[in-house]
Amino acid sequence: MPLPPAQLERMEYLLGKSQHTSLTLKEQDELRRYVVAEQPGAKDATFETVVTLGLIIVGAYLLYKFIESTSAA
Amino acid sequence: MVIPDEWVGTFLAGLIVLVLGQAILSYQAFCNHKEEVRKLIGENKEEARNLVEAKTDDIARSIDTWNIKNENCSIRIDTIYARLESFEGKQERANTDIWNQTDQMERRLQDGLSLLKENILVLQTTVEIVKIAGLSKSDDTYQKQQRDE
Repeated sequence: MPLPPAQLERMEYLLGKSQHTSLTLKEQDELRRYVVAEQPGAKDATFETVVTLGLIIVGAYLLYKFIESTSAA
Repeated sequence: MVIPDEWVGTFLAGLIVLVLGQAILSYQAFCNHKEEVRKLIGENKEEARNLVEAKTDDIARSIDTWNIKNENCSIRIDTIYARLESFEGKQERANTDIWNQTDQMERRLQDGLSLLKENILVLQTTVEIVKIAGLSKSDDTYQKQQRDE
């Protein structure tokens, strides 16, 4: 996963915020940057698609961490 | 002046002789002409017969030629019919092959489509689950940071 933990947490925050209130343009660009770092194909996608991809990335990372912790135990 | 009876008799006799001579000559000329006409007609008949025979021969030859040509045309028509039937047979077989191939392709496409639909359903379900997990985690992170602030 190319995103460092701090940026991943920031992306989680922005995605959580987008569920409660609308993001500023700067925050939208920041979120798009994080998503594009994971999936370059999302460069010209709509913001809704960027949010969906971001949620999938976060969910996948969560599952990855869960599987990793389960196998470590 | 008195004309003697002997002169009158002689003149009349001469006249009668002249008339008779002229009549004999005319009859002879008529007979000669008649003979010539007969000969001419006979010659013409021969020529006409020869001409008719020649024409008849020509017509017979023409009929033979036409018969031969007609026969050739019949043979060609038969050949064309045979080729047409052969072509129709080939076309029918080709049509059958094409429809069989089309049916096979349709079946393959339908199988592929069914498989694709199943894969899409699996993918959609997975994405929904992962998305819900991401949504929950993002919301938690946002709420936590809101509380911290």
